[in-house]
Amino acid sequence: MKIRSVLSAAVVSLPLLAAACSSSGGAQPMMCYGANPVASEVNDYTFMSTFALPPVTVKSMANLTFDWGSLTMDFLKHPLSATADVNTVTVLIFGPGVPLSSLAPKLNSDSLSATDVYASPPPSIMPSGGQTTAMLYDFTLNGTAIPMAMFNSYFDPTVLTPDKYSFMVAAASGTTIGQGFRMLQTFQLDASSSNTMIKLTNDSTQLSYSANLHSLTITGVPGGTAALTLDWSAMVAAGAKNGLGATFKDGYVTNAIVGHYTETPAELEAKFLDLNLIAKPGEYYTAALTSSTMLDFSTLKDMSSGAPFPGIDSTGTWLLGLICGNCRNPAPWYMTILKPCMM
Amino acid sequence: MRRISNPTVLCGCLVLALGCAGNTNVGPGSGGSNGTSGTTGSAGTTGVGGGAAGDQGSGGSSSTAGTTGGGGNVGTGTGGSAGTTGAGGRGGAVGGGGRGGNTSTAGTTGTAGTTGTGGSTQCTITATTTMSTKIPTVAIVTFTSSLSSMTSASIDFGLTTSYGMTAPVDLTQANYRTLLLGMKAAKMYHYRVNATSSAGTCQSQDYTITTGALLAGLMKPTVTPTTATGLYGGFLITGQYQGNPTTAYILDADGDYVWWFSIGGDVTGARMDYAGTHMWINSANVPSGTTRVHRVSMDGMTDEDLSSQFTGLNHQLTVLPDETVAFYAYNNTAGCDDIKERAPNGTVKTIVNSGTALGVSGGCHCNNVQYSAGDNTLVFSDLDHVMVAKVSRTDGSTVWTLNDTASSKNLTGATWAGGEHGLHLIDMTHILIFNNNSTAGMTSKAIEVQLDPANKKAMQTWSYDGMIANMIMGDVQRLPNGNTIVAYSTKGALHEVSSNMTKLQTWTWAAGQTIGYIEKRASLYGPPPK
Repeated sequence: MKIRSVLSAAVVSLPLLAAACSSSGGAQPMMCYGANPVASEVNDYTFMSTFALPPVTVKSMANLTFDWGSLTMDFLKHPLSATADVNTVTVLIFGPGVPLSSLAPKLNSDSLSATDVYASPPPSIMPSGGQTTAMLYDFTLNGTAIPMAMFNSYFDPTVLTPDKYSFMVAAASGTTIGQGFRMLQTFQLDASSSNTMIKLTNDSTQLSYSANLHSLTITGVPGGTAALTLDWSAMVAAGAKNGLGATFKDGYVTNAIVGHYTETPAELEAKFLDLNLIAKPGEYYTAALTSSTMLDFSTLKDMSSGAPFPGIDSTGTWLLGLICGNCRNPAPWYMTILKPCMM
Repeated sequence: MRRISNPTVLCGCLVLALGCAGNTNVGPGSGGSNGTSGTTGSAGTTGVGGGAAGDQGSGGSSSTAGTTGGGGNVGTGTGGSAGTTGAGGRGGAVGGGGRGGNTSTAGTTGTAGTTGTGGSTQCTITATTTMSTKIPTVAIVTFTSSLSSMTSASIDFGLTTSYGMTAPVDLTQANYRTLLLGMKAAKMYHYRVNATSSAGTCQSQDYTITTGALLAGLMKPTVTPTTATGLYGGFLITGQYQGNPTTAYILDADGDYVWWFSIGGDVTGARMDYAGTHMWINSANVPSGTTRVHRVSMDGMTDEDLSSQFTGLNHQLTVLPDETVAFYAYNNTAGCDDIKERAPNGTVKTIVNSGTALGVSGGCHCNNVQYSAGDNTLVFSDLDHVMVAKVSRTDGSTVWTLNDTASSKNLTGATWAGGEHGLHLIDMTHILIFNNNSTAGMTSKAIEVQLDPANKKAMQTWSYDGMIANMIMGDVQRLPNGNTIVAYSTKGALHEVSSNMTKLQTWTWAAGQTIGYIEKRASLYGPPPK
């Protein structure tokens, strides 16, 4: 269990200024904040996730084959087309200081930094024409060919020793190197191995998680209107924790979502990785933010139709999420439940 | 609201020595002896004005000797009268019959004049501020003043009324339009205007402004430690090569964003011009694709897309004092980039093909060009041949090469392997090189090479290894205080190190955020330090 940090008085006091409201009908508390609520930890959810990255062993200094043709799901268990959705395949070398044993922990804590990626930009290939396999020596550095000798020097475990370095292949959607990862497969090099095949399967990355939406204080806002804002600058100023337990820093939140669901909060916790898929049709609203500390709800548009956000109503469950689009962990930094409430 | 400065005497003050009076003589007696003369007062030191220098303090004049005491009257002669200002008066003269006057006290030494401050004057200054609609941390100040014949002006600004930053005012600008640069996002700042004429300097009242919010996605680098003895401080100019949003930006000494601007693509080059009024921004364009070069006013309100004049430009550019821009561009026919210049009037000329200058065949991969004012040359690097060369701007001839095994122009004695990117010409005989050292298991270095062109020699005199392998990009800069900053660009890291190679501070960008070439400035006004 993640334990929330002690908040500064500034952050704690903000919800106390809000008018008391009727409860949400259950044990979950709710506070009415008017049209311009200020985000706080008490209104935020909590999320924990764990990656497991079982490696395969392959021959070192060899022209390895990468095969992602059997992929049908990504590590979020979302459907994936191996031919249509895998747009970039990248080989990542981590280290020094990132052996295989510390790679998953660093991913879990979202503490993997650019300096941990040894070869940067990493070798990559962009499949075309339904391609589902690629040979290592065909990978390039941003389109620039890599000499075979250079590949072999980097894929030599006597040079990049396993106590300091680790290797991974990543299948991604989109063509921005380092983003949009859908499946990860680690591998380790062994001169005595005869295996040169690395297959990415639905189990190459095993993700377990827990989301808690039932302990937060519901954010009460006026219903039926998009004339709402949410300001999280106080959380930034106070160094408050985000839903993942990390410091809520300025500039990190890039996107916001508001979704309307028929499910209860408890049911949504169980389907947390599918929030973008299970929202009521035409009621999954997104916004790319310009301000780093405030959401103007009138900028939200339905992702499929582009229809503007009309405001919330009293049916089902409304979720608001703030997302760090540049972070490795895609889980929202902030997520709260919205309910109509008049001050 | 206006503020009227207090009229104050601010010239270098003069303190005169005061001679003490001789005491009154009583009765008959001999005359008093002469009092000692007061010494000369010291000159006042040069005054430092509030804004303008004060006039030099006038020298303390010699203390005036006390006047001679009058003789005592015979029999009951009174003492000599007191000496007046200056040295002690001499004793009263011998009284006729009366008791002599007592010795008068010597005058005291004159005290030095105090340091003069600038002359102040009275005027009214009314300032108006707007925030740039393009860059919400840039304030645009205009003002009017009743001060006639203004000779200079400036604006002090900062987070408190102690200010800390100063913006020079260009008196030729309409309403003295001045940008306040270097402010953090979402903060209240104070500022005041100083205006000077021959009559003195006057100041406005304190005004406040609040900057706008940070652009979403601009993630502050982690700065460790947050402060340390010996750091240079100042502002870091660079751009976001990878990650979102891709902008040119400026960070202050705390690592906070104080300026940003997007040209619609990645940014590897960002340089302010010598006047400090514009930022030149370019995309990497590696491999050859879309050239993107913009000249942006520092308030962000004017964005000139000059890409068509820089066809094939890649990596970065260098701005010369007259705003000529030196760059290198793909030459698919020759295989090696052309070293080029774009004049302020928009004309572009080729200085030399890099392959010709290096005396090499096959492809080249230029990745840095710098301007050497001392001999009107350009210095560029080539990754493919792991070489650096200096060429004349006037005829493109090669002055020297480094790390070259074939050319007669080579300065021998300093070698490196694994490629290089950023260069910094410290002076005519010293160059800093970011050596990528791209060999498996190796890490990148900053190396300083001492040049001896007369004897065709070169020698590595300094290096720093931050234990980071940075294959692509990378930059270095020697700072005026002797520190060096080393940018591991595509690793999202930057080290500031002392001259003895001690790492003073590390900046680490969030995962996925990489930076372009770098430049540190003490101030965002005026010419660059390199």
